[in-house]
Amino acid sequence: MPLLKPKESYGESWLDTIRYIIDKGLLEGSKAYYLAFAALLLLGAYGLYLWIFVQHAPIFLGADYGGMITTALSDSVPWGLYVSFFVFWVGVAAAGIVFGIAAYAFGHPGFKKVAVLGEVQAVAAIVTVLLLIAADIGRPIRAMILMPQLPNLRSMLDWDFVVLTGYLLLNAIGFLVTVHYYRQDKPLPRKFIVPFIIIAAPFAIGIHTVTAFISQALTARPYWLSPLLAPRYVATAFASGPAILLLALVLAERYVKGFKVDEDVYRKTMLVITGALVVGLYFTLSELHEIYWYTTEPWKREQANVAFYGYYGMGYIAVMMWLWISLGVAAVILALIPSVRNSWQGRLLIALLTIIAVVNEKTMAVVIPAYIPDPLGRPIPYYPSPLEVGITLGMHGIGLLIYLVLARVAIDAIMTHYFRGSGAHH
Amino acid sequence: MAEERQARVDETRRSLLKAAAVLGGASIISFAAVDKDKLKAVLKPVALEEVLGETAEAAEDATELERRAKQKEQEIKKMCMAEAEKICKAQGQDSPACKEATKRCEMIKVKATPPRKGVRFAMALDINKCIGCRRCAYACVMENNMDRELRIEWIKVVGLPREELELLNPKMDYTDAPERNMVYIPMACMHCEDPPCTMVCPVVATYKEPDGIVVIDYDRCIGCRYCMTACPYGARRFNWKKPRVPVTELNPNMHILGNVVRQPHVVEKCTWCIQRTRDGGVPACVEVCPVGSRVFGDLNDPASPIRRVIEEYGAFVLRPEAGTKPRFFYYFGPARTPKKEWVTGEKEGGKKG
Repeated sequence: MPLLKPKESYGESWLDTIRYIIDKGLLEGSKAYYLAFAALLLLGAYGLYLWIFVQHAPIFLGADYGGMITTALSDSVPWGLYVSFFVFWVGVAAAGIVFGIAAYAFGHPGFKKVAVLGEVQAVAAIVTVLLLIAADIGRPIRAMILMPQLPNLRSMLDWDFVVLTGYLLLNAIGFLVTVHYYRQDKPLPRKFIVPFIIIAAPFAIGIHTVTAFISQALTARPYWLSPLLAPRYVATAFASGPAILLLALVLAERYVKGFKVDEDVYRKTMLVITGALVVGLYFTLSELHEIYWYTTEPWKREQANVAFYGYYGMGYIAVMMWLWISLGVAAVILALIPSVRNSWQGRLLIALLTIIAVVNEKTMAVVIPAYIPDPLGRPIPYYPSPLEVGITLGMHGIGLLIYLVLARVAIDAIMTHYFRGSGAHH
Repeated sequence: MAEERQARVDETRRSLLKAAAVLGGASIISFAAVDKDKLKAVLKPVALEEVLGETAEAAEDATELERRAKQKEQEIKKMCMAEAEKICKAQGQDSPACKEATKRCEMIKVKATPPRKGVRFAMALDINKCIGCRRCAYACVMENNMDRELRIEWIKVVGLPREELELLNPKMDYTDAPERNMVYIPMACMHCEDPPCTMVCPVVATYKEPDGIVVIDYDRCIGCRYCMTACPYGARRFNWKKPRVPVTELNPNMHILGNVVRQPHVVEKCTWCIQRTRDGGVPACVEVCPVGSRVFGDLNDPASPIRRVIEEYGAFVLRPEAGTKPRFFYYFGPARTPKKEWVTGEKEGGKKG
């Protein structure tokens, strides 16, 4: 028995839009939806429990037990699983803008229909990112008090915080405005679209660039010390982000009655994914050449050996690296075959391959080798502890939950405008 | 219809302009009228303690750091006394452990000594002399109240083959030293001229003092570990859990930016024993070194031993390519220790040692 009943009809006010979002996202839905909702909620709650009551017990509870010692992180490898997935999701968030640019900057009618899904993806990804940072920082409450108060303008971490929260706000506004107009069967006003895309597009590139700048200018980490790191981040982000969007579109088309995506949207998204993958793979080739062809700094060579050959018992890093290369190449080859890239099964396969390839490239394989061997030359291996995996999964659960709720609302609003309302005739 | 709309727009615009003009005028007047010093005092960042409501009453003329040091002193004393009482209850009032603990607790003093003007500290180490005994690392732990359970050490002694001094896969857990074909290089914070750790800190919790010591404000550190990622010398350590120092081993001579008892989830590192050197002493590692391989002093003082060593032997730094300009110098002094015959017993040709 629901406590709140969804309204029958909604007015024109913004409050009604918020009511609409709550109704469509939380109060309506099938059994399967609520099951997924509950499962994700449970996962998220478990992650938060592990974080607050175990990993950060000395901070939040003042307890003698627990602490970050429960993670596998060490003085040699101070950043691990959390930062790895932080890097990946920042990329996914940034790439949400691809749909926005196609729709609002180039005025593509097919992309206009689905651009809001890019915003939803960005919101969910950035929430995941912020939660992962919170789990990684030793004293999160202090950080929240001090970071706005005593910023160090030279620290890339502060700038990352600024652009991430800014981009989150922008996309939340974009989502809200789009739903507000579409649910009333009105097109988006130009005075919103123009400033939005002018601010959001540089922000999108900015979040990933700044994230790469956190690590790329450190002489302490020769594996990262290359101006290629930021372009490489952005390149593979523009493969994985649209691939996740494509996956969402294919699934929505199959499971939402009456929802139809233009063929051209698929074609162009496929093109972006393939192009970005090719550039990313090319960057990897260039890095391989720089490290292995002639000679290079021994320390950098040793860290690259961890990445490509799995030295010092870090075999899983090498597996991930070669998975990136092989699956990336496979996805590109498949995307070049017309019969594959034009069928929905083929698209699903290519999108999945791309996502798996970039997860392998972006997460552990880019972060961990920079710490092994450490500046003293000690190779201290790092395998994430079960607690870290649990917290990471929990944070992803919360992110996915937000995605699920917001995407449902967004698709409902799109349906109202484009498939049942006035937009259907365009 | 259109005219009406236009009129409405004009009216809105006029009232907006009016409001902007009033606001602008008001801000100009207030900017001119308000006392700048007062304004600065208002705009000063709020201390964490104030936010958390822990501010203690303190003397008016004390600096913020001194105030915090005094407060910390009371906190640590209380904690120490509680621990000491436990020991006394368990082992009896006359037991040596109880006496030691109470004595140390009573002696606790947390200082906030500021840097002396015109001083630029530096350290140099003679690689030829170092025998890799790790007494410096041990003395450092005892002096600086490091957590004993995590086995935090600020000084790491790396053993490298004499042929190639490449900092890769060093011998660090050796049990027998010195070996003939090895050199031993103790490494800790290099107190660089351009420290990347302070550049990356998002909350200015770590910074360089005028006398060249790179310090960490433990009350400000948010534990993001970016500085550990940025340090090319692996000098920084993290308190991965609540740190614990047995009160019978507590060093009561503390500095708020140095060896004061740490908190969980903050970063720490060598401070060149700020609690000693700011008061004119030398770091514990220099004092304890059995072969006198360490030299500490003021770079700006022409008569200081550090200047003499640099001028006489020439010095180099580790990882110069990192570009951080360390102020921890290494040099190869006159006598090679140990000489071959001292270790093997057989005599080489040539001069006698």
